[in-house]
Amino acid sequence: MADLKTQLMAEFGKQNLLDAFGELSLNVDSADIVKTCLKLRDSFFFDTLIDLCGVDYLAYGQSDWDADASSSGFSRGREIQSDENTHEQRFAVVYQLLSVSKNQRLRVKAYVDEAQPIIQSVTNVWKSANWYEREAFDLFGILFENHTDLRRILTDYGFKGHPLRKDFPLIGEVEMRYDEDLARVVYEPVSIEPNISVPRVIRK
Amino acid sequence: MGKKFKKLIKNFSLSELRAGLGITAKELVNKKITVQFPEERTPISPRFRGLHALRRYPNGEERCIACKLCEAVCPANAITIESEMREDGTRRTTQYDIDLFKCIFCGFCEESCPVDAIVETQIFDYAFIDSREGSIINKARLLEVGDKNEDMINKTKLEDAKYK
Amino acid sequence: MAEIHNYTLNFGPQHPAAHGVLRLILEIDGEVIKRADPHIGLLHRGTEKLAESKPYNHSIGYMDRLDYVSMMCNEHAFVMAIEKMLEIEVPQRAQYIRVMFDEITRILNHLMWLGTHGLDVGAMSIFLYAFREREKLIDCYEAVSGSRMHATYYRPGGVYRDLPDKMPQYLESDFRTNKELAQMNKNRQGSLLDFIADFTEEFPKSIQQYDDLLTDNRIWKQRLVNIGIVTAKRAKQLGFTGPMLRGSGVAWDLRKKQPYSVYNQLDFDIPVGVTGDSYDRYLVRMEEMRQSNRIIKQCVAWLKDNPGEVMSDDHKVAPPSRVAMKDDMESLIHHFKLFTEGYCLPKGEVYCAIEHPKGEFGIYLISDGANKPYRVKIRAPGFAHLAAMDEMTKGHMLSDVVTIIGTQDIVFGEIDR
Repeated sequence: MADLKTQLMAEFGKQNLLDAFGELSLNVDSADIVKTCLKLRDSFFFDTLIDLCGVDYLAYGQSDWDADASSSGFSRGREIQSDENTHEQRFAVVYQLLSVSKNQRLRVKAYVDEAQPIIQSVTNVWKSANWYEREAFDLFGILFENHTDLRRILTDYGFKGHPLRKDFPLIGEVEMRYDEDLARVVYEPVSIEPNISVPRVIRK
Repeated sequence: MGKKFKKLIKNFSLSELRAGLGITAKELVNKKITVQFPEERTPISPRFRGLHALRRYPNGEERCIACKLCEAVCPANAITIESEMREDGTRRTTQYDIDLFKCIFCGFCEESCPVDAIVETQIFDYAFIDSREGSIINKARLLEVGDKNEDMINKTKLEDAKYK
Repeated sequence: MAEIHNYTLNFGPQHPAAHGVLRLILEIDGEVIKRADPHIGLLHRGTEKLAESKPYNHSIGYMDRLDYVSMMCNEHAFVMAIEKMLEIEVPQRAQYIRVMFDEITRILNHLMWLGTHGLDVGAMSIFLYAFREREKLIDCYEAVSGSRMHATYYRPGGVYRDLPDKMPQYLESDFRTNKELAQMNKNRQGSLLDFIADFTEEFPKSIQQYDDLLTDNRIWKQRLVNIGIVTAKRAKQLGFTGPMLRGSGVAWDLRKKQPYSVYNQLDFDIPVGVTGDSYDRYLVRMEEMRQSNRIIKQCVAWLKDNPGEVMSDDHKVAPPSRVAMKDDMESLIHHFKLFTEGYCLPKGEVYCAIEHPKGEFGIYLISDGANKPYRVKIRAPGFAHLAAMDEMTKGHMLSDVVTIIGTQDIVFGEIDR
């Protein structure tokens, strides 16, 4: 892995390469993604795209519980700690690469803008990206340019919204049931209450 | 030439089909592994996680002290607890509901309970749920399951206590 | 002369050969597939979103429900990702128990695959024989975890409980004489390890039986040979892993190439195929069952000789024993803390993969330092395999689609997540 690390550093610059928990992670400018991926495939022998996924950094570093003990106990309230969030852009697309021939792994990360979450598709580099990109589009609303078949994949036909975004409620927005009178399935706003039994806590 | 001839013989003699039929014939007379459910049952481990029950102490006092650990630890939010102070000053539940439609039978409630009040029994044939509302079993019914099966619960939990 | 058009056929989602809830839109010309468009997501339960809303340990049970025929392997990937971030030591005995149950799971999965694949292609009896053996392994699951399928047995830091030293036995009934009962309980006299050891002695005979039934059978061969050929290069390009990749002749197995747990101390071989057709993948999986049996044997031998702890003693992650919890104040505090808030992971991200029976099962975990994951991405092997359905079926006959669904070993719990 040390070899790969020095080679990648020479190619992509030291500041873009992260080494944590024994895994290499490469930050890439989203405009260069196809070029970089081609280089990684052909010169670094990353022949397999194991996984591709979107990440939404909207709520990164936020906790539900402010752990300041006072005489009346813990104060409970949602505080936005925006300084915790070091991600300058909201969305990221993460590629997990595997080199079967060299037995190496690499993670490639490209940030995309919230206003225009568009990135070039890598389906022409690795065929397996096809469904993964559809999934990222479906769940996060990230658009992949030059993707030939960018349809929703996991959610229902006619689904609205992108469920894995952090501002999409856990309970969803609509619920469905079969209506006897109309003799078809109807969609209604959700009737259940959100219920989180354990608050999200960050301990330093 | 010899190999080809052998293959031809093998093909025409249907040897592999005969071998397969041989297995079927053998299994036909072999001992059956099925059992006569429900009169006869397959073995159930003492660790089995079936229908829930609330237990009492030998003196008849209910164990649950409404600490709500099981409510917090339930991954499916299936448990709802309300508590109140009783006349004798002890904290007890006024409501203890488990929604069996939500429950994923992971056993975390039993694992978390500090007083061994909520347990999962070996009962698995509880086909009494007939509607959405019927899936919620309340405190009275949980205690009833516990009272009825205390011997079985006590035996299985003792058997497994040394591993926990 | 009438003009003949392609026509579109809807296959599933309620179809016994669809292995769950697969909906396939097939464009066919006569009986030849022109295009296959799988519609998935009918079993989407939002496991990733749910995991973000609960403390880490709560999601272990949901991992079982991803690939619901290889439950403990899913758990293994998840707890390994957590352990990697926390950098905690897992006791050796727990590692061996995990590996043993991973391999039991592999056999469970392959037996299920063999049975249903056989059933799809037209071999009825193999299904019953495969389930006969599965029953014994499911009993092992139940004896150790208390559940026949959804075990929730692995925990960060080890496994929940040690292996039981008694197997549950058949009880007396009117249908059995004492002699019969003794015969039925014969392999249940000792501990769970004795039961598994007995299984590993008997199991090669069962595989031989499946072998005799299928491997040379002309109908089986006619349905499988040269169906769904994938070359090694295409397989990598399509993101194949596991038996699907090995069937194409690539000797890639994470247990050997990137060993995790104690696989580097165990002796086993990696079978590979030659042509990359369905028949080769069948042979690869059959041999994998034999190899798994070998691994289980070694684990049983080690576990019999090495009693010890099965859980880390770091009480920030693993709960203290119940006896300690009831006697000792500090343990009680740890217990309450752990079962309410859980534990926080350091900031960062890991990708942790294991060799799942179906291929590479990975967990990509992002933590922002909280007691709940910030993002969990589940890399399911079946997702990449099913994505290649169009390429694999193109040019084949309609009936071959069923063979290809079977050979891909699809389970919708993991694909739809």
